[in-house]
Amino acid sequence: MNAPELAVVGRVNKGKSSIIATLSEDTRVAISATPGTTREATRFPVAVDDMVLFTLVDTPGFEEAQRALAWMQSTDPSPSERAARVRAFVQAFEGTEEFVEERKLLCPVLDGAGILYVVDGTQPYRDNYKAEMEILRWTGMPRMALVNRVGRADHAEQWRNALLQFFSVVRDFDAHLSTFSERLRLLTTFRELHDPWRGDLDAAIQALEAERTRRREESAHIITDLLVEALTYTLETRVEDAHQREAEKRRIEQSFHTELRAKEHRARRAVQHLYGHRAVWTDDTQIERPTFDQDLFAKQTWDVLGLSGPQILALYTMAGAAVGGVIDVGVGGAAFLTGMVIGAVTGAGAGAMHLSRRFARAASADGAVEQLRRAFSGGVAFRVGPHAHPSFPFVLLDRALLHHHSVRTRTHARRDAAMVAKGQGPTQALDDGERKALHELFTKIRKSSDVAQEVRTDLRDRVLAQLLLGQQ
Amino acid sequence: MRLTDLVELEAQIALERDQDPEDLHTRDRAIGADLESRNADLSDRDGLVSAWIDGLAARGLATGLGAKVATAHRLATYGLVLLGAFVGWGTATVTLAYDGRDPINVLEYLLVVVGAQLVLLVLLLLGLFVRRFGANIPVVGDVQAILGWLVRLLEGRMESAGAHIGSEQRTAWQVVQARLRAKASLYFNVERWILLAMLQSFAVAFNAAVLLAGLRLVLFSDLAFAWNTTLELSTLRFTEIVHAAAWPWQAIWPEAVPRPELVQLTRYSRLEGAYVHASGGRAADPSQVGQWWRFLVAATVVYGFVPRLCLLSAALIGRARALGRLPLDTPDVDRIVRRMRAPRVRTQAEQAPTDSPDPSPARPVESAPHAHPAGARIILWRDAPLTDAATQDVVRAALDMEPGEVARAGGMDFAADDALLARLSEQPMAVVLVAEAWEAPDKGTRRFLAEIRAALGPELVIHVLLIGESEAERPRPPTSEDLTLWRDRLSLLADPYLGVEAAP
Repeated sequence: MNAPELAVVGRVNKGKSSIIATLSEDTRVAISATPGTTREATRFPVAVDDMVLFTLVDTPGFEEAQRALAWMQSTDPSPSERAARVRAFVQAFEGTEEFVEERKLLCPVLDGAGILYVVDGTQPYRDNYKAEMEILRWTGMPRMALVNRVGRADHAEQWRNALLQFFSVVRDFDAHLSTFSERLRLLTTFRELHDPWRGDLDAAIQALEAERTRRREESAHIITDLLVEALTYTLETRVEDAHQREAEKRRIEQSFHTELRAKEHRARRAVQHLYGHRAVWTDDTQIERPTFDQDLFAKQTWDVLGLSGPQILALYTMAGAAVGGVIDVGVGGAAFLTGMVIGAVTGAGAGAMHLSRRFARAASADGAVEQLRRAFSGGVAFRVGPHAHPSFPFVLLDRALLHHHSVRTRTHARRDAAMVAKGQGPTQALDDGERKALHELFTKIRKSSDVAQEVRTDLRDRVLAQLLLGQQ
Repeated sequence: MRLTDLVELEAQIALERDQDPEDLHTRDRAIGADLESRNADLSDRDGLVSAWIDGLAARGLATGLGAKVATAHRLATYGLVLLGAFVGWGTATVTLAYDGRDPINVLEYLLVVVGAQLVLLVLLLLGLFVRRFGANIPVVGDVQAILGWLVRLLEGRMESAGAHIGSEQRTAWQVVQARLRAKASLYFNVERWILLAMLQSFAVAFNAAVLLAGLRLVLFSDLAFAWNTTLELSTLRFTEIVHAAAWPWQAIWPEAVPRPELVQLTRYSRLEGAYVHASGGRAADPSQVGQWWRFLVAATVVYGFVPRLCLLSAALIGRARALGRLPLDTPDVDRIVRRMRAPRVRTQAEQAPTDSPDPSPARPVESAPHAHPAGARIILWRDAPLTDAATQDVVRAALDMEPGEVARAGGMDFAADDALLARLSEQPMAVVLVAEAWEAPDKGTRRFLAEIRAALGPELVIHVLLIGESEAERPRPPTSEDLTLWRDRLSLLADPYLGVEAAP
């Protein structure tokens, strides 16, 4: 038996293509306010590897349903003859310029596709819609109606009352805001329409759920790789001419931050591609022309994302106290916790020093002997990175989590400019233990040129946990 | 894993950076699914990576760089073998040179062929295997520096050897080299064994050539050997040293252990220009002075050829083991494995939809060109919810004209539309079609307007008056977007006496 097919039909400009774009996650579907944009029936197979589980068919809209129904009714067929009458209609006008759209949309239905009839719930119901609903009823195929509710005005109730006279199942659906779970629920409804479809649609639901898990895990990998790459990235240069030192220093500092932005940009694109968003996002222009409040190193960004000032101080104070505590233990408690107190104060001081340093600075990369030798020759080596600010990886992680959320929740029907969600950084809500664990991981990564697999795995699991939290 | 596979793996990973991850998933999952269909074990990571490389090659997607680099590596090894043979042959020819005057000094031969080799061998092993502190140890650090230089030189030679590699692949190879260097901690062990194997190929060829060249001289010329030293070394002591050196083969080849009489007979004095114990003439017994050759051959075999052969074997085994034990757990390899294992879920159209609406003429329809007529027939289109009075009011307000009776069309009663058109044909007069703007002007609307035109004749004005979402008594104006859309789509009718107006 062939895999089930579902033809998405309805009048022109009622959001059929938006629904197709959302369900098939295909941003290439043309969506326009101009009626008649969809001129051919296009198949969107849902396949696992090479096995098609079901197919959605985008169709041109009804343009002359009343006239078509009038032709069909002209012979006053009995209910048992109506499906044949619809077939006769398609055949009668084949090869002509008449009813082109009606024929194209009815063909897949007559070939066995189920019907997914789309109306725009933001516009009022009018009686003339009965014509197309009647034609669809005449086909005798399993059918359900979908009230597309993109927009503010709402006539869904009015529509539901009318639709229930022609369709056994009526569901609401917002092609712009539907979540993955809502899409799966819709698939579950298709399953109820026709019993033989159940097996294939169950398999499709399972496959889509597995795909959601895969995307989430893959995103965790991408974000982990970004964090590791950003935290181990350094840039080094040698300057022989003493007059060029400052300019060269500024140049590599700038290059360093540009490259960090580029790394983030690449990771974002990878996540977007993973979720099937190939169109350019607003933020994609950031590299060329940084949008100040959205830039990775903007003050506004650091004010709301990453670690807050008190959190940084707390982390450093705790770390300092821990080191001091070890010394106290080493002297058998003879220091009366002086070590811990001094450690905590020193740690807090170090944390305070970091607070305002959003940008990494270039520093001499030469050892003491090399510096002495170069003191006479005039040359000097500079290195920038790894970025030492304790909040930097948290800012990066917050931005990645917010970006992931924006990508994951954006449906493929939307054609407006996409923006990364703004707001409080998710990592600020972490409990102290998790924050400390992450800080320790980041510190470990910064120190190693070759990050151990266990460290990566640990970090990835924590990122994945955050992605799962964001999904709830 | 083989060297070919390692290079191919890195070349593919370098290439992937610019490719669409979803396309890569499709590609790699096809290989994974193929393995699944053959009941292969998808949990075996090494097997998966090898199968992936084979799968790419079978699909014609391999970069070919791995095979080319392996060929270049083989050519570079052959080059080293030839060089070793050439140097060995030359060394033997020089150290065993005998023109009938001073005999060959066996100590010199041993120093050059055996002693120097042993020292170099020890330094090489220290340089390669004492990694951590090697750089701080005198000489060993220098050897490491030389080895580093040698690696770069060999890489350069390999590139020249693979001169048939195109510029694109040369760039790809440079990228792969950079990647391999960046992963030095991972690949150091492989690199070390590869270098050792190449150097030992040179050394084995060197020793083999020394032996062959030596045997040639023994077979085809008469050689006279001697030993001499400035040191006060007694014949007895020298005999003991020689016997100690010959210990490894004394049981299996006793003829190759110089007898004390031979040692005594072949002590030579350059000052005298004669064997010290010769009883007159330069060689008391030519059959005796040539007998050192067996010792020299055995020494070369035991201290030169065999250790190098063993080391070459060890290096080849070590290389294979190092390649086999490469921890394939880097993020890049992880990604490949995940792509092979995870089923590819596709929901998109196979080909990008190419839909677009009918193009509109350049000029959209605006207001009707003629002054508003005194009266007109009003048609309320497609179940617009206005009452007759409200319809007339809005027409009056919008078009500054006295409206006539209101008819309805575009509803479920298609026959009524035909009847209306017939009436228009009998009594032609201007028409105002009042339509809800949010309902896009489809073909049905355009067809009806065309039929009105046919009924009215070419010059009577048709107004399309658009209202927004309205209640029965309260028509509302349309949105500017809807007005623009109607004007644009109705321009397809190319009717100069058709105007589109908005309700106030």
